[in-house]
Amino acid sequence: MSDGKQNTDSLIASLSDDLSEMKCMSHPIRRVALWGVLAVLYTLFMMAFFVIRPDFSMKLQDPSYVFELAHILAISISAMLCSSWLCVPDMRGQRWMMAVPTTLFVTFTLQIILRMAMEAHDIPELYLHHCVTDSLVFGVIPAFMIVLLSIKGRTTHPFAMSFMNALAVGSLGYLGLRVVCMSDHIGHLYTYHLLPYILFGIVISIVGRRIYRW
Amino acid sequence: MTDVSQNELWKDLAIKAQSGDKRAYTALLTDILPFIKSRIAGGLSNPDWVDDIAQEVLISVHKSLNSYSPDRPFKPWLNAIIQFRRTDLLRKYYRDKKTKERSKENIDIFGQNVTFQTTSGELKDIEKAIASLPAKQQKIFRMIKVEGYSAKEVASEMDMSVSAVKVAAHRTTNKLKDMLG
Repeated sequence: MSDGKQNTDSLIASLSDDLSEMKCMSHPIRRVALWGVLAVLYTLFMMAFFVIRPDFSMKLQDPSYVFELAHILAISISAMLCSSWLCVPDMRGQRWMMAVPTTLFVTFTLQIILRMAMEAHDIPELYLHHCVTDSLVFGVIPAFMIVLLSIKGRTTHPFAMSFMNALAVGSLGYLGLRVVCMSDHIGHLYTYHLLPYILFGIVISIVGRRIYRW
Repeated sequence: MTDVSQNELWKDLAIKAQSGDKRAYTALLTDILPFIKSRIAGGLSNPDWVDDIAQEVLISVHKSLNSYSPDRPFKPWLNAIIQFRRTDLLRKYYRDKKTKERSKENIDIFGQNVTFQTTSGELKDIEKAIASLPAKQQKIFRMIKVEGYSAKEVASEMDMSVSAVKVAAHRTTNKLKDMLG
């Protein structure tokens, strides 16, 4: 018997020996429901804490503002669903799901680039604006919770998982900031609302392979 | 055996294994092993890797069995794990290869890392390799492979599960094999 075969046989024996009754992982929708509810409640609480912008009811008459909020909400919901499905090695055969938040994110990015090209004549300088700290406050708890949820899963796509986590958290935080911050200037939105989440996305993508290793 | 009946058989065995049936689990792991090897073997240039990846896949199946859902076919779930571990090994191999190629260009590093003929295979090479491992892995490896303790004894000493100890010992052995060539 070869050494490799012997090793494999003894490995099978030891793994079998160690088996005990296990609780199956819940359906992804059930796993993500708790995160979704808590993250939305936290965002609503933070909106109330930072005070909703005074012209919010007027802004709701503006189709482009409503479309932007709906777009962002769609990215967040689809990315959080994807994060949960990614916890199963084969994504329960639903790999197409990843296309939804990715496409929505690409269209959102295109929209931002177009607005930057057309409207941003003065990009604000980088400093610790209160919107940057607000974005961290909006994002930190949902980010912690989604990383915890994802670590407990068994993903075979750590990079995609990091990307989806960043999209779910970032878009929810951005949504919260759009509801509390009075500024609609694209330079302000990009520099103080989006950039912190882009940085979070970059960091989690770098460490994703390590933290989601199993 | 047809693809459908094989899938059904593995699915049944996996469900029994999830409820703690050790015999079904042994049957499942033994049964999927040739399939795993056949899926891996195709694109690998080194046949020695087949056993290594197959063992990694078996460990991964063990770790993630709770993520298998009985209402889903077994094969796609297993295939995802095989693909993941195969890519993982190839990525590690090419990363190491790049590092080695780079060090060959640097004569100083080359000189420091080449094992001299006179000391080749001596205990100090192995000791050096073991010393470069994380402390926890070193301790597990020394206790099991050098001092002869059982996995159960090591598990109670280190406050770990028996399977975690076995998996750590297995991985450390493979790591040392890689390091010592």
